[in-house]
Amino acid sequence: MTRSFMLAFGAALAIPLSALGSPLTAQENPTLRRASQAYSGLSYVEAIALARKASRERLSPADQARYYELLGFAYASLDSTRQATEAFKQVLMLNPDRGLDATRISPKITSSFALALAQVLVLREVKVDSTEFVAGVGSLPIRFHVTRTARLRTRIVGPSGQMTVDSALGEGAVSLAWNGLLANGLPPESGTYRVMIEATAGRDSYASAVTLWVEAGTVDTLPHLTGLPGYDLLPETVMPARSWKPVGLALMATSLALGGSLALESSKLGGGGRREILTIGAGAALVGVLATLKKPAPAPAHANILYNSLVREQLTRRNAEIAAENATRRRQVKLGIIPQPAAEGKS
Amino acid sequence: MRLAWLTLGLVVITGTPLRAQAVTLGAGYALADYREQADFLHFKGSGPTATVAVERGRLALRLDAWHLDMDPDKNAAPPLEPFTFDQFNVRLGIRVMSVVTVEAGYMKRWMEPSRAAQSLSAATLGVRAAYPLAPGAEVAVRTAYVAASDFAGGGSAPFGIELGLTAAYGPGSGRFRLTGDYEFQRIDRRTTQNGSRLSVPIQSSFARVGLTVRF
Repeated sequence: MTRSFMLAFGAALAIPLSALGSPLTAQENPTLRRASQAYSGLSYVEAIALARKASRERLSPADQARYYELLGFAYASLDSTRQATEAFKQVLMLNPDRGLDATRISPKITSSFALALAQVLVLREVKVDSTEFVAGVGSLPIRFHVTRTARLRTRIVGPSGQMTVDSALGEGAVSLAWNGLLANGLPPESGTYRVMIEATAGRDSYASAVTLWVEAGTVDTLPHLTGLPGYDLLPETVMPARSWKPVGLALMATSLALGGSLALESSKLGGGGRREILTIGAGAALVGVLATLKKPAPAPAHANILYNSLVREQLTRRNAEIAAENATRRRQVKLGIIPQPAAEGKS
Repeated sequence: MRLAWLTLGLVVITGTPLRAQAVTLGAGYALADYREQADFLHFKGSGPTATVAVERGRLALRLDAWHLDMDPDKNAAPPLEPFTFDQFNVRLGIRVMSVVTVEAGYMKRWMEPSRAAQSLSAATLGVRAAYPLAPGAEVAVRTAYVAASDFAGGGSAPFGIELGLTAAYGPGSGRFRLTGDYEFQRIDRRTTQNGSRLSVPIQSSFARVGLTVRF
């Protein structure tokens, strides 16, 4: 009776290991495989001894996890809770996402596993989904579970720069969102980025990273304007039409001088010399004619200058608006996020 | 001396104007008609002149020097002797409108020999209106009241007036200009002789043709 009960209980313990596709069922190392078979045969002490023997051999990382898990199961079955917990802590360090189905595994084992889970600092179930969103408008959800209260620092690091998504104390399920912008306020360029999560609690620390492929969409920016359509700049100088005004002015000045001289001549002195005024008067008239024939100097067109300044002012304002619009567009890039396989973790 | 002329030439050719300041140098040749006291004291002559003008903002300072050799006119009463006529003018002007400048000046005239004609000094106050006709071309008229006259031979002048006409033309912007100046001056000098007042007016007119350079 006692033996049959023991067999049934042992079977209850062993079933989950195989039913869950446990690592215990697919060892590469022969010694570890024999240890697993011993565990299945309820020979827990032998299973532990064989597992210890296997640990001294060269084990692959997967076999290492299986080794500690076998130890955890065996010690828990032998009611060695402390050793079982230590073994499960190693399992969690190697495979933080490892979980046990409490409905199918003995409470002895699951309680030891839960104890280990409460003592170790790891980040579990780090999840970043494939998504598409517009940077600055939508966001990328980042979810994970931290086993103990810890300071959590989550960063996005990549070729375009980095961005701290969050830095705060957290425990249990943590849900964050990255708005798709880097520290410089701009969205990332296409490339491989990493979501790096660092957990620190006292002297314990743990880091996990998820590699993402970020596909940045193209940005359609508006070109700056060099002119306003329909508002061409006008010449700011105009060439005055040929005018006879210079001749008129020269003759008028000559007449003034000649008339004034004649009027002011002293009659007592018998009039005055004509040679001088006639010489210079003729010269002044000639200057007037030459000035009339000379190409006139361009004159500023004040109305055109004012018009051009208004057009330039409007152009500057419009380009400032375009620059602001382009800055917004450069921020609002559509990002495609594709997580790459396998999250990594290390303490 | 040759080096000095060479240096001056280089400065004139290569010099660039200072901001808001212009210096004009000029040299010319003048014809003169000089009458004094009555129609029989009539002289004609000619000689070199020189001009320096500095403009800065609204201010303009102009200096003129004349050195003329005067000979009695063929219609003058003999015996009259020739003399040299040296005159120095300085005028400081301030532009009060776009084309109008108010000028205050001082003139001094030396005659050699002094007995041949009247040496004098006087102050002037007048206006000058200069009209730009085209780039490098300008015409100007001026008039001034001649006051505070002091004559070597004594006497006074309650009235004196000057009239002037200037025409200038140069190629391009007018850095080099050919200039022509006409100056007419009448001074109503009066003296007292044996208790009676005598009117001995002085009248002169000059035509000067020269070349100026502005830098």
